Amino acid sequence: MNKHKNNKHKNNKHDIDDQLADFTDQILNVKSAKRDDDPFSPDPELRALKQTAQRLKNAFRDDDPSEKVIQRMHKKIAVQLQERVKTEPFWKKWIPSRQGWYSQRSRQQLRLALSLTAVLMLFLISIPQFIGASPDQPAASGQNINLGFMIASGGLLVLLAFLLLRRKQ
Amino acid sequence: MTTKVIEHTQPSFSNLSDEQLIQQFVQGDRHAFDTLYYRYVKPIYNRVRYVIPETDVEDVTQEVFIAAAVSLPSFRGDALFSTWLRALTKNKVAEYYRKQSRKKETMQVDMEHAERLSGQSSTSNLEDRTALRYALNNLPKNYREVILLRFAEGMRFKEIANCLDQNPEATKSLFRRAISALQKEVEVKNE
Repeated sequence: MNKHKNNKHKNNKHDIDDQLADFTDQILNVKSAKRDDDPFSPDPELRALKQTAQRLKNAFRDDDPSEKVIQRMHKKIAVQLQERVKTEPFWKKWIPSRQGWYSQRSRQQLRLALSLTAVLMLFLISIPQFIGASPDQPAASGQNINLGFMIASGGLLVLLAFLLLRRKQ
Repeated sequence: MTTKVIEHTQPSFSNLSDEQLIQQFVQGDRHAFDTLYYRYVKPIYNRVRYVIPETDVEDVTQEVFIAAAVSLPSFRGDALFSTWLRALTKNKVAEYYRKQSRKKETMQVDMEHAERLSGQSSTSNLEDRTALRYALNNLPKNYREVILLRFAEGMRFKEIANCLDQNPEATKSLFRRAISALQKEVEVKNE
């Protein structure tokens, strides 16, 4: 009995879905629906839904922007895009943007350049330690420095390899 | 999103697909973007119009297209351009409300605008539009979306079903629940 009731309720909802969809298709195809044309339906739920759909249609009926508006917006967009290019600071050209002014390729190149610079700087900083190291100095401190250097450069090399691999993908 | 090629575009571009136009634009041909603009301006404008007060519709629509031009080089083509542009529009609308937490403020501005324009159009219609816009903005996202796709973008239920990755029956059911929720929102506002 309950199952039968549920099925009936389901079918009723399904009917309402279809009727509301058909009604919406109808009113959206009519250019100027009058406000007073209250959609008649014996079912109060469907009637209320139809009225809301009709109300929405009526409220926004003059939908499309006019040619004048389209042209005006187009001009403003062109001007703003040009201004953006003109006023963009020079350094911004070198910074990768998530928004995508720059191509993915240039971002990858920049990433590679930064990684290589970091390795080079680390190498230059560590040169004096190698040159200055003498056999008279206690072995332990020299070993510590070298160990730190090895770890840091190892980390950088791993990072570099990771970036290069990503680039190849 | 309904796509109409409008005669403002260069004839050589009007037959190109969105993807081809994007490629041309990324390679430096700005006329390709003009074609995309004329192809999509109406559905975007209409979508914005349903959720943003009259006074700011043009500005927000412009912002959508500017953001599109800026971001196009990073467009990877994972989704359709129309879907991408729709997502961009939603972001711009959200940004609009977030920027100055205007959601409540705009209601007032919109009503004042409606009053100012009362000589040009029926006040009750403008008030109705404002009330409906407010109610739409208060709906859950999926309800708002299905209403906007049907009313603002003029998509058929089959197209909406494809867009939402649902079957048509589920879409119609969602639409019915959305209209019902809208009706309740409007009633709450009137009380």
